[in-house]
Amino acid sequence: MLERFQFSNPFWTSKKWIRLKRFLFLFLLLSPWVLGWLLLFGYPTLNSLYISFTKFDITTKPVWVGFANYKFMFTQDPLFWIAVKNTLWIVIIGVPVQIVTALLITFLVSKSGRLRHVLQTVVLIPSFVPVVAGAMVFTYILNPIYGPVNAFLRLIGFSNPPMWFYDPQSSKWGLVFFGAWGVGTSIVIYSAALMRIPRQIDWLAQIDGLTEWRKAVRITFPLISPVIFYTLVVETIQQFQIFAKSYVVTAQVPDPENSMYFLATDVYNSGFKDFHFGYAAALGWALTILTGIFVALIFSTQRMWVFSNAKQD
Amino acid sequence: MRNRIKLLNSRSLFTWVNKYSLIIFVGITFVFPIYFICSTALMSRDQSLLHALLPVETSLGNFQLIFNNFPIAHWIFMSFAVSILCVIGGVLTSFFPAYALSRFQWRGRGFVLAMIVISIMVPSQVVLIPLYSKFVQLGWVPSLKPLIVPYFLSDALTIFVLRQFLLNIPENISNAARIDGATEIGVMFKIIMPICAPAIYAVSFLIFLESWSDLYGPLLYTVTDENLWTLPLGIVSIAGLHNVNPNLTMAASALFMLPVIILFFLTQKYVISIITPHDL
Repeated sequence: MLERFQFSNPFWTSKKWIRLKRFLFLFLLLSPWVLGWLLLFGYPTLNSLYISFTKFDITTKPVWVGFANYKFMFTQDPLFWIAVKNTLWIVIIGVPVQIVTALLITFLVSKSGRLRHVLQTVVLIPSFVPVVAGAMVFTYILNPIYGPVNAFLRLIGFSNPPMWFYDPQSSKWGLVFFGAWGVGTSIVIYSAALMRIPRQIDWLAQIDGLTEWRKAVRITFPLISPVIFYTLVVETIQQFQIFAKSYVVTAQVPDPENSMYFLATDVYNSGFKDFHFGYAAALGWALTILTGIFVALIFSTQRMWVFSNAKQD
Repeated sequence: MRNRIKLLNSRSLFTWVNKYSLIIFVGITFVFPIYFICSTALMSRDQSLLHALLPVETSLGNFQLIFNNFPIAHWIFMSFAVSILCVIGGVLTSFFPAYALSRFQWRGRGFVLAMIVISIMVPSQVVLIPLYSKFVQLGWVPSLKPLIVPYFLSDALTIFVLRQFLLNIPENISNAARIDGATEIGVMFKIIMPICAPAIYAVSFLIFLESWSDLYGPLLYTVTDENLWTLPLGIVSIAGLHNVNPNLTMAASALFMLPVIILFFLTQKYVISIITPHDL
């Protein structure tokens, strides 16, 4: 008895120590994320909520002003409402345009046989072109007088093609097309989802004599609706933060009517140009809440059109 | 069987031609802006101002001009330095959390995942002001530190993508190594990490792309000190208002685009498999 007790190292083989070791190992693995989350997300989020209720210029301590920033935002700042209007426009128009474009091209990719991989690569490359380079070339090709796009439009019979970035009426459409140019990643996601649809379903649809259109609406769309839902959420969140595109375009093309002035632009200008950091924080929260409302709306429609296996059980 | 059905459904030559003309049209539309960057980069200024489709005489003179008139070599160096550091930091510090989240069962895993998703979904504009003021207090503005250091505290999206990949590696592989006497750390570094190589290439590309093309960060943290500029700021400054030298802007844009395109072709196979969500 005594011998066994001596040789079995009670602590080092005990369950307690093994569990502690495991906990320490896991914690060590997670520690970069824990630190990053607290320092770069958790604390700054709470802090910015506080800053949004203060007058703050970085150099001195924030001064509590209550709801003054929000009051100013809603009642006195005309740029805020312009920014909200523009941001909502680009989300409501831009995101569906991107998704429909991606769906149509996915369909074309799936039908293009041997050219499949070539076409997929060709449409994927633009989504990896840096925004600054993309914005440069889009302002260039959408030049109303010399640009090749308008030259093409005149060629096919439009005598009065849009002025694109030079006209507040059409400038945001330029950004929408710029966005639609970068839908390659969505196409890859949709294509992968299409590939996962069992072949048999396709055959059955053909045997039953379904037209291509009916097949797309009744079979293909429901089966890939979960990934459409996913891209819809991701692209909505991204589109709300649109900044670099309009920044690079408006750095070259003057935009006196602020037709490309978005909420993220407003955050940047109020904070880093006018040094009203308290107000900029309030604008950041306005942007977040607006995004949250939209994402919640999208989630509330999920049951209406997103197909899930769970429902059938 | 399949061919028979196809035959029955096949339409006239007209739709066949139509399909291929559509494929070519879409292909050209997507390539067109990239073609324009490259062709304009080879044109003379006069020609580029007319937005010509084809350069009359191609020359690399524009590249010579931008290297002579702008510190573009310096910008390129800075961009590479920042992006490579971001890749190293992002991959290293995201792999371990992803490993913990995928290879072990523990309570609170779902909670940690939810926290990661929240930090991805909340717009970055919220944390911008407090982070900026902290960086100012630390004396990090202007400097490159605010662009690099955050990546050394792990990147939420990278964790997510790596976790996805790690989940698909069978647990038996780890168990076999454990039975052979490998320690947990040995299993992680010697067994699982090499298997993860494709996913690591892919996330490296994505982090490189993100940091390489980032405009917001440099605009906040380095814009006041021209010695710290990276390529995005440089190109915006080359363009200036009204972009009076499109040939130079496009030459710089072409240089800016080139590394990303090359890296994309090198990692294409892995990148395509990693951007597809597997849970849906």
